[in-house]
Amino acid sequence: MAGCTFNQALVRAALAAQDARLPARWTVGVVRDVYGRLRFAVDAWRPLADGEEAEGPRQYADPDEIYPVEAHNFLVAAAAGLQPYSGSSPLLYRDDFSNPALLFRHEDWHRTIVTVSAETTEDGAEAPSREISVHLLDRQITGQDWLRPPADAPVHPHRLVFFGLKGGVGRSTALTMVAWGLARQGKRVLLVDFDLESPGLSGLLLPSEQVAECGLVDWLVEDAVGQGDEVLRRMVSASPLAETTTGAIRVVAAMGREEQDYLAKLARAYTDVPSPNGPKRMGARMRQVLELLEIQEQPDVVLIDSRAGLHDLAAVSITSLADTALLFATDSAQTWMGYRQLFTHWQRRPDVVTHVRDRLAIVRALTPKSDREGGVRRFQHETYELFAETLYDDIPPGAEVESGVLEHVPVYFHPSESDEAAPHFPILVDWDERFQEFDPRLRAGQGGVTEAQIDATFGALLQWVTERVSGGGE
Amino acid sequence: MTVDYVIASRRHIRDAFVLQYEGRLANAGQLFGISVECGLKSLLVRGGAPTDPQGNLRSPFREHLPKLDTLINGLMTLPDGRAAGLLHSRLPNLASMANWKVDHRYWRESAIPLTTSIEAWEWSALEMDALLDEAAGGGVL
Repeated sequence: MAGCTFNQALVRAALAAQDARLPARWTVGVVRDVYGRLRFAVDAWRPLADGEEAEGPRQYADPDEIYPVEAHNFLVAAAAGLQPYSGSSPLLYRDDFSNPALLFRHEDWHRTIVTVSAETTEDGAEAPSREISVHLLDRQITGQDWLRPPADAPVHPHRLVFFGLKGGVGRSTALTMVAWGLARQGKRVLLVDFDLESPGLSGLLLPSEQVAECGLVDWLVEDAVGQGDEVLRRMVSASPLAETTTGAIRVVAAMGREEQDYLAKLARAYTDVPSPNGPKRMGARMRQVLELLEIQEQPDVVLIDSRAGLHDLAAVSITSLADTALLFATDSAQTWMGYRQLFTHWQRRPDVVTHVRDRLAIVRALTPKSDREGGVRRFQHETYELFAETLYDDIPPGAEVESGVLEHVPVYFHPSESDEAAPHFPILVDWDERFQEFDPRLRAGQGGVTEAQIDATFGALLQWVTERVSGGGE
Repeated sequence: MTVDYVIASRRHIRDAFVLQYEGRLANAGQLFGISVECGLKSLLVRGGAPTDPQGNLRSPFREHLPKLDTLINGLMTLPDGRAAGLLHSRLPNLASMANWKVDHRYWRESAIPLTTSIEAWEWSALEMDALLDEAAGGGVL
C-alpha cells in the first residue's frame, strides 16, 4: 500500500500536532471526517499569503491571534504525508467559520490515546512503543453516542439497561423475570423496548390483543412532525404478569398493536429532526421520550431492553440512559472480542471511562451446570483481565491505593479480582432448558414454571438488581 | 478558480445584515436569498456536481432558487434518506424560499413580499450559514 492506513494516519497526525517545533500557545486539534480523512484545526486566524488581502471578519483580527506562517507550513507538509487520509483543505482556522465556536468548542472533542509502535530511529537506536494523546474531533455518521455521557440528567428513577453483544443469550427472559420479581416487591416497573430492529419483548409480557395501540417507533415518527404528545398516552399497557403482585409492570413496546408498516417507520426513526435549537439527534430524542414516559408513568424502576451488538441505539442506552448497564455475556471468543473492542474504544477517552465503568455489570448468561464452579472461576478471571486491561486504572508502582484521605494522592479505581461489588464480578444466570422458548404467562403445569424454579435461575440477578435499585437512582 | 460558493454565501449574508440594519429591505431580502442559493450550490459542488473551469456549476444545476431547490429534491441528488434528512433537519426554513425570486431585483419594492417573508428568508440564510460551518468542520454531507 503506497499511502498510509486509517490507523497509521491518526498516529502520524498526532505526532505532528504535538511536535515541539509548533508554538505551544495553540493546541493543534485533529478533525477526522466521515471518510477518516484528517485535518488540523487551530483556533487562530490563518496567516495570509503574500499580497493576499483580508476579507470579512478577519479584517479586524488581532495580529497576535494570527498563526505563524512557519507553523502553518509545517502542518501543511505533515498533512501531505497523510495521503490518502488528508482532507482537501488540510487546516481549519477561525476564518473558515461564521461561528468558530461551533467547531472549536464542539462537545465531541476528546483527548484520545494513540499508540506509536516501536521503531528504529535514524541513528539506529531502538525506540520502544509509546502512547501519546491527541485532541480529536471524530465526525462519524454513526457511533458518536458511545462517547457521549450526558452532562446532566434530570432526577429520574433508577434505569437498568439490558444489553448483549448478540441475541439468544436470554436477555429478554431475564428482563421479564426481573420485572416480575420487582413487581412482587410492590414496585411499579416501567419496561421499555428500545430493541427497534428486533421488536417483540412485549410478546413475553402481554397477550397480543393487550399490546398498546402505539409503539416507540410511532413516537419517533410522529414527534418528527410535531405530534409526539398525542402518541405518548397511547403507547403504554399493563402486563397481566403483575396482576397477582402488589406492584405493576407497565410496558412500552417497540411496535404498536395493529402495525401495518413497521419497516417504513423504522427506516425514518433515526433521522435528525429540526428544532429551534438546531437538529435533534437520535440520542437526544431517546432521552426525551424516556423522560416523558417517566413523568407520565411515575415508575420506581425503569428496565430498558437494548438493541444487541455495537449499534448506535445500544450506545445511547448504555452510555447516556443507563444508571446501570447489565452486559450479558457467555464464555465465547465472540463475546470477549466484542467487549474488548467496546471497552478499548472507551479506554482511549479517559473522561468517558470514569463516567461509564462503575455503571457496568457483567451477567454470566446461560451458565452451564457441568463443571459449574470451574467454569465460573475461569469466566470471572476472564472478565477481570478484560476490565483490568481496559477500564480499570493502571496503578503506578509505589502509589498509595487506598487513600482518598490526602487530597494530593490520586485515587485509583482498580478493584481486586475477588471484589464482589466490582463491575467485572459476574452475576450468574444458570442455564435451564425450561426457559428456552419460555412463555412467562403460562402457569406451572401448563408448560410454565414455578416461582421456585424462577428463583433458582434468576434469583441472584434479582437480588443484585434489588440491592442496586435500593441504592437509589440519579 | 474565480468562483467560491462558500465565501460568496458568507459575504452575501453579511452584506444582507448591513442593508437590513439600514432599512434597505428589498436588497437585504435579495442577498439573504442569494446567500442561501450559494450555500446550496457549495453543497452540490462538495457532493461532486460538475463545474466549469471557473468553478461555476454546470447544467442542470445552473439555476436560481426556488427552482434550484426543486431540482435538488426532484432529481434525487440526495439519493439516500440520511443525506436528505441531514439537509432537512438543518434547513427547516428552506421551503420558505419558494416565493423568493432573483428577479425581485427588477421589481418595484412594494411588489416584493417583504412584509410576509423577509424574516423567513433571513432564518433560512442563518440556517445555511450554520450548515456551512458544520460542513467546513467535516461534520456533515
